[in-house]
Amino acid sequence: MLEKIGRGFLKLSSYTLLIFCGLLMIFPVLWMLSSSLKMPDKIFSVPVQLIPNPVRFENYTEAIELAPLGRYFLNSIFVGFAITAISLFFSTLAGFGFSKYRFWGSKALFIAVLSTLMIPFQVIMIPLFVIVRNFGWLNEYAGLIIPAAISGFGVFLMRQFILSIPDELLDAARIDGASEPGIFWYVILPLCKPPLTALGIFTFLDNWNNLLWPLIVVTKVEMRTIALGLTEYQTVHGTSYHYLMAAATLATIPILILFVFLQRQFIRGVLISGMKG
Amino acid sequence: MSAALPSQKHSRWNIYTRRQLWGLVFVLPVMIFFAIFAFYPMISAFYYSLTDYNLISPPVFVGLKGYERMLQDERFLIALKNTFVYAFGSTLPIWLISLGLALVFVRDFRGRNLVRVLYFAPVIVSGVVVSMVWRVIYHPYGPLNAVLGSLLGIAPTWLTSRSLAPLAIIGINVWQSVGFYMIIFIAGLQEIPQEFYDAAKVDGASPRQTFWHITLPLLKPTSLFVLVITLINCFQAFTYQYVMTKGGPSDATNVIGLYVYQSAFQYLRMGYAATISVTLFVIIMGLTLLQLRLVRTEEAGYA
Repeated sequence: MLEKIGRGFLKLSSYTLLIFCGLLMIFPVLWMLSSSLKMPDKIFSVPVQLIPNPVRFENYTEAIELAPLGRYFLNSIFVGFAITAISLFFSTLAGFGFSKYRFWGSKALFIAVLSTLMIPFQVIMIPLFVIVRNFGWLNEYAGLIIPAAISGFGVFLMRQFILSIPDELLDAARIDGASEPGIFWYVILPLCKPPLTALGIFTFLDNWNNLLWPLIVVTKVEMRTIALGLTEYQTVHGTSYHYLMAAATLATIPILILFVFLQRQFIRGVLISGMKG
Repeated sequence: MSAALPSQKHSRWNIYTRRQLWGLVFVLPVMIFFAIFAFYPMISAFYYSLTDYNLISPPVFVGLKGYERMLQDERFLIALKNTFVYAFGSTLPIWLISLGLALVFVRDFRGRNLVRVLYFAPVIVSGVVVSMVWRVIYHPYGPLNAVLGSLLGIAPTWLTSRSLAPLAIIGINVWQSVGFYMIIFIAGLQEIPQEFYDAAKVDGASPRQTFWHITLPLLKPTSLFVLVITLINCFQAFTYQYVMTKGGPSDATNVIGLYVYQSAFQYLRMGYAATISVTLFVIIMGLTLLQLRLVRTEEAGYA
C-alpha cells in the first residue's frame, strides 16, 4: 500500500516536473504574446506580469503603421510558395530520373547532387551575390526565389522515396500506352504526396525563417521578407518593445497555426531534415 | 520524332536505351540549376579567395595574400575562437538534454504528445523572432533579471557583458535546438529492436545496466549524427549573433559566419570574405569527413 502511494507520488512529481519544464520552454513565446498586448511601461514591471493588464490592442495597429509589415508578409508568402512549388516539382522529377532510369553518367550526376549538401551557404554566398547582380536580380523576386529554388536534399529525399515504388506499376502504365512524362505526372507525382507534404512544409518554413539571403539581395523596403523586415524593424524601433513584440507575434502566428493543424507533418519534416547530414 | 523511324526495326534493346534517356531529360533541369547556383559559385569562391575584390572594380589576383592576412587578422582569430566556443559549448548541452528528453518521450504515457509539443515548439519559431524576444528577456530590467533579482539579488547585464553575452547566445541556441534533436533521438531509440530489451530483462539487468549496455551502444550512430550535425550547424551560426548583438560587445559574440557577411557586405572586401568562407568550408568539410569515417567504422563494427 505504502509502496503504491510512493510510486504514485513519484509519478505525480515527475509529471509536474515535466510539465513545469515544458512551460518554461514555451515561456519566451508566451512572454512575446503577452508583451505584445501590454502597456509599454508594464513590459519590465516587477514582479513579472504574464497576463497583460490593461490589455492594449493598439500595439498591433500602431506597429503595422510604423512599417509595411503586411507587405513583408505577402513577400514572404509569395517567395515561400514559389520556392516550395519549384523545389517540389523539380526534386520529384529528378528523383524519378535518378531512381527509375539507368542512363550514362547517372551515378556521377547523383553524387554531384549529394555533394551540394556539403556546401555551407556562407561559402557560395559571395559568388551567388555576384551572379544575381549580373543577372540584374537584386531587389527582384527572381533574386529571392531562383537561387534558393532547388536543394540537393529534396532531390535525394525524393529519389529515396521513388525507389520504393515498384517498377511493375510503371510497366503497367507503359502497357496502357503512357509516355514517360505521363508516367511522372499521373503515376509518380500522386504517389509522392506523403514525402512531398513533409518536404513542402520544411522548405516553406526554412525560407520563412531565412534571413541571410534576403539581407544580401534586398535593399528596397518593399522587397523585404518578414525575417528581414523584422530585423530592420528592430534596428529602427529597437526600444519600442511593445511594438517589437507585436510585430514578432504577427510573424509567428501563421507558422503556429500551420503547426497546430499539421503537427505530424512538421515532426516528419524534422525527421527528414535530420537526415540531411 | 518516332514517326520518322520505321518502328518495326526497333530492337527491344533500342527501345530500352531510348527510354533510359528520359532519365537524363528528367534530371537535366536540376543539374543545370546546380551548375549555375552551386558548382560554379563553389569554384569561384575559391578563385575570389585568391583575389582583391571590392565589387566596383574587377577582382585582382593576389595569390595567397588574403590567407596570410587572415592569419594575422585579430578579428578573424577572435571570431574563429568564438565559433569554436559557441559550437562546442552548444553541442554538449544540446546532446545531453535532447537525449534525456527523448528517453522520457519515447515511453508511452498519458498526455505524452501534448507535453512533447511544449518542448518542440521553439523549433518552429524563426531565428529572427527568437532573437528579438530573447533580447527583451535578457534586458537588464527584463523578466530574467526580475526573477534572478528576487531569488538571488543579482542583475547581470547579459548582452552587454563580454563574458556573459556568448553564454547568453549559447543558451538560446540550446533552448531552440533541443526539441529538434529530441525528435531525431526518439526515432533512433525506436529503431533499437525490442528483442535486446527482452533479452536484458530475462538476464535480470537493471534499468541502469540496460541503458549503459544496450541503449547507449546501439544508439551510437544517432548520437554521432546529432553531434556532428549540431557542430556543423553551429559553425554556420549567423542569425542570433546578427540580430541580437551584431557580434558585440567589441566582437565578443562575433563568429565566422557573421564575419564573412561583415567583410563582404559591410566593408566590401569580397576577396577577403571569400578567403574566410573557404576556411570555414575546410573546417566543415573536415567535420563531415570525420562523421563519414566514424559512421563507416561503426557499420563495419556491426557487420
